[in-house]
Amino acid sequence: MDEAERGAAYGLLSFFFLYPKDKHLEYLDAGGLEELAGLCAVLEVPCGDALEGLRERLKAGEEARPELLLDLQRDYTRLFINAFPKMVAPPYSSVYLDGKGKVWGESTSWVNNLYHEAGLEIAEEFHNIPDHIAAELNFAAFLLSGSGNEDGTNLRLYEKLVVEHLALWAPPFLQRVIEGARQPFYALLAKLVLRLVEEERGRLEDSADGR
Amino acid sequence: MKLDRRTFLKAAGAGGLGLAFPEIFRLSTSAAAATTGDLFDEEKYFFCGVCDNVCGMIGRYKDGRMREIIANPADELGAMGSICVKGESAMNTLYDPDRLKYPMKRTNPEKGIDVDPGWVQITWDEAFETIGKKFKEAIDQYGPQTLLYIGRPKEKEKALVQAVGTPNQVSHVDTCYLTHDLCWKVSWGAGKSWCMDLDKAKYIVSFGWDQPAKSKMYQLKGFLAAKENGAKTVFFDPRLSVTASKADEWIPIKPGTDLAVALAMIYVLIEEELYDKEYVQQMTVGFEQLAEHVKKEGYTPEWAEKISEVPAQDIRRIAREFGKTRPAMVALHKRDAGGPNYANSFPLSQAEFILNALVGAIERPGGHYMSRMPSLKGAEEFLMNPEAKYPEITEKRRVDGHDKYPLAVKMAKGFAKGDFSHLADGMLNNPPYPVKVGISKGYGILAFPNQDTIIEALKTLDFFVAIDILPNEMCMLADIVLPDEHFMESKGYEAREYHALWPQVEFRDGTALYDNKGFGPITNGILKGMGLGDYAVWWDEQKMKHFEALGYKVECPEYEALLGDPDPATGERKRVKKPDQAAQDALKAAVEETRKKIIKENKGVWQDKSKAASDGRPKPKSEFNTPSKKLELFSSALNDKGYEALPTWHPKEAEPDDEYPYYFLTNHLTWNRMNRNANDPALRELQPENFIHMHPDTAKKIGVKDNDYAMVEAKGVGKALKIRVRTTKGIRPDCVVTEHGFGQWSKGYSVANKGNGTYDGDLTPNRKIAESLEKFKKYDPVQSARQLDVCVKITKA
Repeated sequence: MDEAERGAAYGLLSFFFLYPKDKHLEYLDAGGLEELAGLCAVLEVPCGDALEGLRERLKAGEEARPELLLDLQRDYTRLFINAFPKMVAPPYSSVYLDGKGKVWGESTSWVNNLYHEAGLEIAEEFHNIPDHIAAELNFAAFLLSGSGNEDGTNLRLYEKLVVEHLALWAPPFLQRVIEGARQPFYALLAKLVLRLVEEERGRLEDSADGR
Repeated sequence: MKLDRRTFLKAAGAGGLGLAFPEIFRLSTSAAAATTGDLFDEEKYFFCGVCDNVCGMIGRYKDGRMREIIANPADELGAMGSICVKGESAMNTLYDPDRLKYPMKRTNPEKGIDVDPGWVQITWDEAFETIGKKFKEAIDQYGPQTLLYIGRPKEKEKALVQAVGTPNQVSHVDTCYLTHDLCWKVSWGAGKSWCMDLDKAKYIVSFGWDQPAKSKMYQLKGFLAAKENGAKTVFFDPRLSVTASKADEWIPIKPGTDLAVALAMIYVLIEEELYDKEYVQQMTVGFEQLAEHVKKEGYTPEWAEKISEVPAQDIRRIAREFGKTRPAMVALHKRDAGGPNYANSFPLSQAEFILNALVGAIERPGGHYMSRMPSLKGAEEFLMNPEAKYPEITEKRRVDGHDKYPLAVKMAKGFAKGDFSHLADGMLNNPPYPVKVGISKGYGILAFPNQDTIIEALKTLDFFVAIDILPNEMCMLADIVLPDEHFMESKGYEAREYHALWPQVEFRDGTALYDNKGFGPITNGILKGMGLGDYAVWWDEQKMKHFEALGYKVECPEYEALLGDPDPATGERKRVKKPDQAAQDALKAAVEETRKKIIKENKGVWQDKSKAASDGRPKPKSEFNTPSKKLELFSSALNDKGYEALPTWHPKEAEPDDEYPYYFLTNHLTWNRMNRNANDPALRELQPENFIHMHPDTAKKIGVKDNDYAMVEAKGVGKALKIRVRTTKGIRPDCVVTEHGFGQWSKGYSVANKGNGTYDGDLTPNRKIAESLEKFKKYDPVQSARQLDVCVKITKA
């Protein structure tokens, strides 16, 4: 994959790590499923029947959509927000990196400062903490998007983000998602991010060794 | 599905970034803040929301994360230089991943302890719309009384209840401070004494008061200062509490007999003329009736000894010391023996008031002061539609039966605070009308005695909303859960009540981590959802008036345009128009600017020390809001409603027998705020489970030793709790005590529900409205919850 493709992959995955709404189903229906299938091929992640299952439910017509959306929302809520018995996989770096299992830890400040370095800050409407997985993936997409990247600063920030941060907490977090998801869609998303991040870490470390 | 690399590459061309970017990021509005080497780069003011001592705090931040909490030196009345362990731990709750973050609805209609609610996140709009619709449907069919509101009797809460017009606002006060509160209301014309001048006292007596050990900072500091100043301290308590362990004398009194000792002390003070004659003559009424009463009833120390097992000579000696040492006081607070613990707690509270009055310990240094609070106008004056008037509550009957206590209703200005201990009975057994919908704010199931019955009662509701910061047990029963603000996310302010020697208003300057809302916006959202938008409160207008009362004018021309002509008599201009969105936005901005100014200029704590005398104590009151304008030793309010006007001996309800031979007591740990901080792993680690503490002789008799588990079963409750044994010589052999704050079962927690803790309230009998009414028609106008009026049997588990 080239930079633009990697950026697109992060962007797509970031979108699906936001709370599922109608627009997610619409996007999946309007070619998103194929994009994800393509990404599975690129990353060599078997997609099992996760996407096929979604396709069938999407095809079942408008009346079946609310139930599909509810299934995704139920799983997203229990995985990442609040659940019974307890949230499966808190989607925040600090829970995995900062030793105390709390949100807004040292690693949150670290990544938040990185956003600022790139000229970004968390939008008020996000109503969430800066090290949320969707924010970090989207940030990676931004850094690879090419805009404002003439001097290579953003690529340096990207390397820092992946090697010093994302690759450290994403695997244990995603493992919990893979094991705990009831909707195969979320397990698949987690596998895709896991593979992407691991590949990128390997690539970036190799290139650093080369330097 | 065909896996096609080209399909993805095509998408890559479209660019996936934009899909989520606008929801998450924006371009920085300021230059990147350089990370400095300093430990902290920002400070924000708060006041603690863990307990009502509301200590002034400063949160110290680094890179956007609060790293440390210190006492705000500007708060001389609450924090007094220190923050307690509960305040410090508030940061752990703020950053707890288990926090409620967004409104959620349950998708599983079945409710119960081990039932997954199947939550899904919803928007605030959907939440308000659904709640409004469900409430309105129920009210249209059954009338406004069908709405049950479980929440604190505070202003924002009342705004919702009054607009709807339901009589059913129910709060925990009957299990907390209502006995003291009503007793002091009839005796000195205001609520309970929240302001004790402990450090100036030279002799302190108490009946079960243990607040210094609950890290109530002003009481802890005051108590320690009194001791340093040479005060003698005498504590009546069946167990050696932490506070009693620091006292000069610990007297292990038989539970529920404190009233006898207090009456005997009154007897000695009067018989030996040790009371403050000048004070009593000037400040009180009813002394003659009191003197005659204690003599006629024969409340001698010898009589009290037979009841309390405290030697008569000790009672006489303590009464004499108490009468001869000035200033002397009886210290008290909420859940001590004069709190809602026994069938005779109300007359005990009155006896404690009288002891204080007899030695001049009211409105005098070293005694009890009425809190000096600034006068800030209530929400009802700031409705969006200035012509809207709250509906009259025509249905006076309450589902908890509290309306049957006329004095409690009268003293609460028609708005009784309600009753946790009788709510389940009222809902389950012939309720006066159908109660179909409910809302609870900030309370857990484990705030109720006897949780099984309240769970059963709440399950009878067709629709129920819970508002909180953590997914506690109440949330597990809710149809919609709303995420409240943690107090460190609030931008609110509050007038100090505890230890308010002079008027003080403290401010908070927080920001929500997620999509949390405070109760003001929640109230308005629900009212609008119900089609009652005219009753929504314009909170910014209220803030504007409050800030003006503190001496800060809010400038806002858009607001001025809504005002009518000046009143010819007063010159005051009242608002006559509903504000449009532009006016609301303009006032919000103006108020926010003023708020920041007040915080900055006052370092988070506005205060008016000019109201205090030169020694920092309030200028004493000589007139009170009672019918006689004096302190009433003989209460005319009690007398008028047919209650005993003077404290009279009544026994507690439950006494040991062969089958249930032990008195049951509870306590809570210094670091626990009931159940509210139970999910903090640092605090839970200090003590992972509660213990049943007993005397070694008792343990031997039962056949248990330290660390064994015992089964504890209460008479008349039919539930046994398995609790680990701890022995101590600091308790009477006929008593056992366990800690409150354990036994959480909500599976929304990841810490609190671990371990073997049990809920002490499961041993409190379920109180019945009719029985309590019959029992207390003569002498307890608040139908005491009798939290500790129970005996238990104990066996080895």
